[in-house]
Amino acid sequence: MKLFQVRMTWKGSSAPQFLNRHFYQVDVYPEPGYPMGRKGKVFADTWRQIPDNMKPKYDGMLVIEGDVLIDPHDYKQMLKSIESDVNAVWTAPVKVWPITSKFDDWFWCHWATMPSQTLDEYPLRFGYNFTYLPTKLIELAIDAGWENWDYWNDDSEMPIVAMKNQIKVKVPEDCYPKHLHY
Amino acid sequence: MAEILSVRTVFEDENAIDQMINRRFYTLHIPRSEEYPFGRKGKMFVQAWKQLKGDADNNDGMLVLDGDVAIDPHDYKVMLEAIHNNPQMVHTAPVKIWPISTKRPDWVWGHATEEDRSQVNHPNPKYFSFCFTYLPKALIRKAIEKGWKDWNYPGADKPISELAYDMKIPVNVVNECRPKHMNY
Repeated sequence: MKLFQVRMTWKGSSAPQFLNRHFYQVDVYPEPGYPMGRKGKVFADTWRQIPDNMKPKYDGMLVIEGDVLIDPHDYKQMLKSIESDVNAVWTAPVKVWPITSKFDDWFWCHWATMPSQTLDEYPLRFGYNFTYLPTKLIELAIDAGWENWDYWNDDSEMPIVAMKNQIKVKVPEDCYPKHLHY
Repeated sequence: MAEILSVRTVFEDENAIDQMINRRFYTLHIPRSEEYPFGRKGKMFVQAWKQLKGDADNNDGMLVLDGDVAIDPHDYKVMLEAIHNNPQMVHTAPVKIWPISTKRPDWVWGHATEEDRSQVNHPNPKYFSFCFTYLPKALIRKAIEKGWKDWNYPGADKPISELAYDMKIPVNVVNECRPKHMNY
């Protein structure tokens, strides 16, 4: 198994942690016309920048966002899960806080039917927080216009592409990142 | 509702975690000195307890958060609920202690029934770490009486566990709390 590991940080929001050195860092900056940045384009460009002769070597991309903390156990559990099925999406359970969602309370970032505080084992929706995307999904997403998925819908389009193409979404066991954006 | 002092310990020169919830805690800076290069954690706790009037009638105990431990609002909420349910107990969150500290081959829980720590999450431990832990007033008073001010690295936390055990103060593991210990 070979992973392209990317840590995505918004300008000015990034938690230092020792494990960051395992990830390439890509930054999303505000641009004229895109004050919330162009997250989709940054991801698509990141993948495109990998030379064509190297791409087949990667099973997919492991993403961690800059405001998410993990420890060596979380990382190990994620790698073990990916190894067991490199063709699935693997998304770690991460709490989304009211500051982002405008809901009354937190909910898990992955869900099957509705956001809730119950862990869905087989979700359809997921956020990027600490998530593995298989190569097939990345290429389908680029074809579907990933570079144009920006804030608000930057995270919500990817699960739709996965659903349309019957790519399974799985949740690693005993992997609980800490989302500091609250 | 229990009244508590919330104190966050930060060692001088340590990369403490910058998190919003820190503002709920008094920050207790632990300086290093020539004589005590790893600081005097015990003494600083005792002085903080005195300076913040921990012994006041309306205070039940002290909630400690170490500077290298990340928590979120849910962790904080469930810890407060546990304390309010029984402010006379020790309440400790399950926290992983990494090989960089223990020199063991893998992580172990900060709480344990025996001195030999493991990855078994014991519900009624004898030993606990301070990482994110509530200490009741009776335990703190006794610790001060027994010389807490002189308990320093590497033996700063362990005597408190032993004292709680001797005093028959139960230790509750708040399992719904999932702090992240970043000293790995």
